[in-house]
Amino acid sequence: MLHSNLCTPIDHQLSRRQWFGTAAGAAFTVAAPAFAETVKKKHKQVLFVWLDGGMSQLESWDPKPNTQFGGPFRAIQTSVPGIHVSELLPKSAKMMHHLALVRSLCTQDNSHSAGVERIQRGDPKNRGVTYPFFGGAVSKLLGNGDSGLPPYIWIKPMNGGFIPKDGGFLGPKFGALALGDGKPPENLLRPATMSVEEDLDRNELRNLVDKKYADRRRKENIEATKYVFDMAAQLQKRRDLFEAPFAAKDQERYGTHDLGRHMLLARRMLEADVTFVKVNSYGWDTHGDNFNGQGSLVPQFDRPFAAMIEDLHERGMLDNVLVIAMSEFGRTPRINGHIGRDHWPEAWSLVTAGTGIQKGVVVGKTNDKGTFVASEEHDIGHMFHTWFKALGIDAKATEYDNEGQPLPIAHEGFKAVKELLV
Amino acid sequence: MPTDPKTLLAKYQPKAVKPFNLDHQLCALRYSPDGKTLAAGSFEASVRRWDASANPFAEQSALKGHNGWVQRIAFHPDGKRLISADSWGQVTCWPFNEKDAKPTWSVADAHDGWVYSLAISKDGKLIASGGRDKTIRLTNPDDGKKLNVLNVGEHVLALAFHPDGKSLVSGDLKGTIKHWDLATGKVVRELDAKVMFLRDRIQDVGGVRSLEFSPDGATLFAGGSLPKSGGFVQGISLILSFDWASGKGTPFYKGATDNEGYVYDMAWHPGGFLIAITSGQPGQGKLFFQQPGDALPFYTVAIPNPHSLAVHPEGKRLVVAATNANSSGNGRAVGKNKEYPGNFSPLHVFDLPV
Repeated sequence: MLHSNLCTPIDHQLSRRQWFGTAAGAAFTVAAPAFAETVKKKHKQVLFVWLDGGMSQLESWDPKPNTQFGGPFRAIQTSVPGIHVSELLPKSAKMMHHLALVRSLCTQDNSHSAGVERIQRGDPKNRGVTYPFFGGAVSKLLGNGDSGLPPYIWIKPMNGGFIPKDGGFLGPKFGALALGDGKPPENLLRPATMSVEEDLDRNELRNLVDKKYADRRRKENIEATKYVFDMAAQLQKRRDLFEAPFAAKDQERYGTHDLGRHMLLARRMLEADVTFVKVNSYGWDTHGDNFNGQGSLVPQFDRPFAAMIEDLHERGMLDNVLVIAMSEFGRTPRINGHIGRDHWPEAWSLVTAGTGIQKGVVVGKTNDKGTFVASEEHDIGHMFHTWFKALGIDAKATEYDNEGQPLPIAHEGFKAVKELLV
Repeated sequence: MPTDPKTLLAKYQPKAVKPFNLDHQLCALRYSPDGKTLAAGSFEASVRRWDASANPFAEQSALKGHNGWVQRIAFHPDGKRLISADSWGQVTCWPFNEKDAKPTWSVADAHDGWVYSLAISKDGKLIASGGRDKTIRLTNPDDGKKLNVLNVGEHVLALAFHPDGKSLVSGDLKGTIKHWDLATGKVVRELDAKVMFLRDRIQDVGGVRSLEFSPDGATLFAGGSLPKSGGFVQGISLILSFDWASGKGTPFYKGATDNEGYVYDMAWHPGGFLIAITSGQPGQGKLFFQQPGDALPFYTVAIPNPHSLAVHPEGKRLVVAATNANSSGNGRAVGKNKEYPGNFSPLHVFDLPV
C-alpha cells in the first residue's frame, strides 16, 4: 500500500530531502507535442528579470517630465528617435533599438502577496488548480535542451534551494533551482577532500536509501526527487559555472553590486544553454523617499541590463533568448506625504526583447499625466500569450493535460499582442 | 547659560493660526530678509510667492521658467533677489519684489540634473549649489557666472556657509560632511555623520539632509536619520551637533521610532534655539524647538508630513509647508468626477511671542 503523499518528519531528517522537499505531483502531458520538435530545432531560452516591489514606470520606461505627477527627473532620447525614457536609464536608452516597451499594462492586483504570484503565473482563470510560474511552464514546454542543466534556474539574493511551488500543478520537477547569491546549493559540489571513489560510494548508499523510500511513495514524487538529484549531479560536473572568474571588464560593465553580479552569472547560465533563468532584485517598494530610492535603484538595474542586452546581441543570442524585465505592478502617479509612490497596477510598464519580439518599439501609451492607460489595456494574460508565441508556442492551440483535465497554458480570454511580435 | 526649558516654553509657546491649503505640493519655503515676502519652490516647476504682511497671506504671481521640481530657494541678504534651483540643473536669480518678475540671470546647466542643495553666504558674495552630479558650483550672485566647481564625489544633499564667510560645509548621501576652505577650494577636514547612511540591498538610503550653523558659528547641526530600511524607507530622526572648533559630533536630537523619518529642514530662531521638522511614514511628522545643551525639545507638536519651514526674521511667525493628511494609498482612488486628484500642501502658520 502506498503511503500518503504528505511527508512525515522523519522524511526530512536527511538534509538533502529537506532541501528538495516533496509536494503532491500530478501526472502531466502536453496535449500538442508536435510543437516540441519544432522549437527543439533551435533551443529557445528566457531571461526573466524580476524587480520585486514595483519599479516606478514614471522613473523608468514611461517618464512624464514637467507634469503634475512627473517628479524631478528628466526624460532622455534613446537610440530610437521619438522614444524617450527616464534619465535614470542612460545605458538602456542606447540599447532601445533592441528593446520593446509596453506602457499599457493594466492588471488586477495591487498587493505584493497575491500580485507577485498572479503575475508570474499569468493570472489564469481560476479552475481550482495552481498554475506554474512562467519559469515552470517554460521549462516544461521547452525542456532543458542539450545542456543537461536544470531547465529553470533562479539567481537571487539570500537563500537558495529547490523551490517546488513554482511548478504548480505540473509538479515539483518543474520548480526552480534557486542559487542564493548566485552560489551553488550547499554541499552540492564534491568537496576537494573527497575522492571520486568516495563520492561514488556515498551515492550508492543514497540510491539504496532512495529505493526503500521510493517503495513507500508515489511515483511522481520519486521521479521529481530523482530528477533533482540528477540535475544536481549535472551541476556538479559544471563547477566552472560557479568557480571560473569573470573578466574584469565584464565585472566593471555589469557592476559588482548584487544585481550586477547575478546578471553576469545569468549570462553564463544562458551561454550554458539553461532554458529559463530568473534573476531577482528586491527592495523596489518605494512608498517613502521614492525619488531618491528609484534614483538609486534604477541606475543599478540599467547598468547590468544594458550590458546583458549588448552581450546577448553580440553573441547572436537575442535570436534565441526572450528577455523580460518587470515587476508585479507600477507606482502611483500621486506623490504621498513620505515623498513616495504607492502601488499602481492601473497603468504601468515593462520591457521585453529578443526572440520573436519587435525591436525598437513602444506598444501602448498612458495619458499625458501618466495616470491611466490611454490605448488598449494589456493584462498579464496578453503578455503570456505574446511570450509563448515569441517562443514558438501557440497558446491558443496548446493545452496542459492535468490528469484528463485540459487546461489552457495562458488565460483564454486574452490573446497575443501582435504589435510586439515579428 | 542655557535657559530653563519651562521658561523657554512660556516665552515662545507658539499659537497655531488656521492653516491654509494650496492646490499643489510644495518643496521649499523661505521668508525674505524683511519678512514681507514668503516664497516656496513647488513640485511643478515654479516658485510661488505671497505678500506675508497681509492676513491671510496674499498670493502673487508665480515665478515661472523652471523645470521639474524647484526644491531649493534662498533669499539674497540684500533683500532684493531670490535664487531658485530646480531638479533639471537650473539656477535662476529673480528680482522677487517685482510684480511680473523676470529672471535677472539664469544658468540652465549649472548642474547636470537635480540640484539638491542651495546656500548663500552671509555677505551675499557667493552662491553655492550642490547636485546629483556630485559637485558644488560656486556662483557669482550678480551675473550667475561660475566661480569654481568643487568635486564632492557623492550626491550633495545639504550645504551651509559658516557665518565667518571663510568656510562652506557640504553634507552628502553617504553621511560625510566636508569642510571646504573657500579661499583654496580644498577640503580641510571631514566630519563623520555616516550613521545617517545605510546600504540596504542595492539601495543607498538616507544621507545628511539638512545643515544649519548657530549664528556664532560655534556649532554645526546636521539633520537626517538613522535609516533602518530602504524601499519603504524607515529611520529614526536624528540631528547631530558638531563642535566647530574640535569637529566632534554628538547626538542633539533623536526621534522615538523608525516611522518618524528624516529631519527635513532646520532654522535658527533669534531667541537662541533650533527649530526643526521631521517627516516619515504618511501621516507622521513633528515640529519641535530645542535649545543647544538640552537633551529634549522644549516644544513639540505633531504635524503630518512637514517638509520645509520658514522662520520670520524677527522670529514672530513660523510657517511650515506639509503634505495633506490621508495622502497615501495603493490602487485607484478617484474623485467624484472620476478625476485622479493629486495631493496638496497645507501651510501651517504659528505666531510666536516676540
